[in-house]
Amino acid sequence: MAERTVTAPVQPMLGKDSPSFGEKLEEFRERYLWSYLFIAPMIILIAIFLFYPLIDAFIISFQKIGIARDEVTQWVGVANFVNTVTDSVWQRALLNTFIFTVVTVAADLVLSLFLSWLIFPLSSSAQSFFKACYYLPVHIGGIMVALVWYWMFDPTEGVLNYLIGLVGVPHQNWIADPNFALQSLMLIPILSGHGGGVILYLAAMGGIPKTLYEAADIDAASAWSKLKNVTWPLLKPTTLYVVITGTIGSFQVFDLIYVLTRGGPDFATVTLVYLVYQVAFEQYSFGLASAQAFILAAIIVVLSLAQFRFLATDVEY
Amino acid sequence: MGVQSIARPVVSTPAGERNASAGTVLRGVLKGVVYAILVLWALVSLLPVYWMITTSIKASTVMLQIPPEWIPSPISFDSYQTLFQHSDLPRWFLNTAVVSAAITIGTVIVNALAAYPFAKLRFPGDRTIFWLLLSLIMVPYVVVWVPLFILVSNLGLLDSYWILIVPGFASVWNFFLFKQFMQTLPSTLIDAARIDACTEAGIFWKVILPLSKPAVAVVAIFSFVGQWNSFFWWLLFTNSSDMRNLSVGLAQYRYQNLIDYGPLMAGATISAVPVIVIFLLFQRYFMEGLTVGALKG
Repeated sequence: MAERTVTAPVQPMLGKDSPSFGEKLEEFRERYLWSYLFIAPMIILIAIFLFYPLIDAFIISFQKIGIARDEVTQWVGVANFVNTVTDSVWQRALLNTFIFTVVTVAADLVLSLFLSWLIFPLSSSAQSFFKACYYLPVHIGGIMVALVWYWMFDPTEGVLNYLIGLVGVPHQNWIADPNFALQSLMLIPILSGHGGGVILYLAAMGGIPKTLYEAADIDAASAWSKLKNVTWPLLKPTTLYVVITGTIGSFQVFDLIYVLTRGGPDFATVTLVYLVYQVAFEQYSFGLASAQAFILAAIIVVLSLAQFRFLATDVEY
Repeated sequence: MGVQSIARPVVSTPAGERNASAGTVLRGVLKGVVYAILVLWALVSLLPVYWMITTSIKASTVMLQIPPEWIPSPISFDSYQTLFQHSDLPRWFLNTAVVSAAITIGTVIVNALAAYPFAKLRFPGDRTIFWLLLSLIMVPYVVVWVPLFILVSNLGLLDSYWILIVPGFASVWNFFLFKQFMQTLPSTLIDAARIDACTEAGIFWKVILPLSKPAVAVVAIFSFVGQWNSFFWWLLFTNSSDMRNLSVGLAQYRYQNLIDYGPLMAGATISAVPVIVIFLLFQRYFMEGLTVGALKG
């Protein structure tokens, strides 16, 4: 143990020990240089390909962009926004998108919960097997799935009409039928798209403490009661996640529409994102398209917040 | 579960059970029903995949017949031949493979590097930048299309590998995944490396990256498969047929050859098979990646 010795007399605080600016800079450099270097590539890329376009899109949405040589870009204020919400095709797109989202998300939720509830008590290898079966088609790629369904939807030689004919249902025109096209499209994510939900619910169910179920058993609870009072509330975080991500995803459906129907027949399957695509890259009205994109973004944000408010409750153990 | 068992002597089974109660029978039946439902749904789920593959190897004469042939016989590769002759499929495959691989490597490097300082080091502005990035994740990509397209065509970069590869490195999702993961790494190892006078770059390369292998695996796999199936980006930024990828190429083929289902299915199979193989080999990482993304809250 070192002996305490009296050191030099105490110096006044001012002046002597403050580092010079050069020293401070050197220290800053030493401590933080690498951090900034490491984050630089990502920040630069995000700035160029996400941040800058975001700002630019905002500006563009208030303009009418001139394309041809003799057209000038003019400032039109909120005209693009007003023209969008008063346009009947856009309103139809809003309706279609809304219906599509509500139906596919609800179906996904119900199916995922139901299947997970069935799978959970099974052996681990059975679980793995079924999880793989349901999750595999999701990764084939939306386009490939859409192409297969395109073939299956064929009215005369497609396998779907054959199968429903076996049970006596009359043949449908599926995506060629203006009254049934949207519903046909909705079948695709419902039947081929929910593997992710099953995986998430199974993982979450694994996290529910068994003691809760045992306590319920002591109270002689039925299977339904256990489901309602123990399982469902504790799965709320997962449900929230599935609903919000499902909504955000479904609301932006595009690939299916592009590959299968191009918005027809008779606007039966126009969706909001597909409309942005048409307006931007078939009509070249960039300003209008930008405005539509922002309106869409606003709707999504509002929806997500509303769902969060509605579904995120404190769970008490 | 709570079913009363009725004690009733029955014929003993080979397994030696003496009393098969009605409860056990009921449970057995229920289990059978459960399996039946699950298997039925698995069939429904996999039907498109099965249909895609079998259609692609049917002879064109039997392809359109009703009732359809469930097991193709004879097997014919006519569809594949037609597809190869009438489209740029081999080029599409090459484009898809090369770009997906390039993006995968790039996004892992860029985002792992960027995540480390946020996860383990403190630096001025880290809070602000982090929240900015978090809010950017909420932006639907559709908002960015128009200005990006204008920018890219003004720069003359349409139809180039640059615009197909480089933007793929920027992925806020991958960044967050790495950051979440790296935060769980023990700081003691980093401190020890510092005491050994290791440079920051050295720490990253020798300590952080090897420990982050699970995160790298998940990001790499999801990136690769995601890029393999990418559609809209390629639709927007490529014009000529030989710069397309499998998704866009086949989508255009569908419109140019309206009821040529065989070659279309052949193309879809070619695109899907690598992904199926990857999925079967690396299932675990797919499941992990999904749950990690969800549980981050």
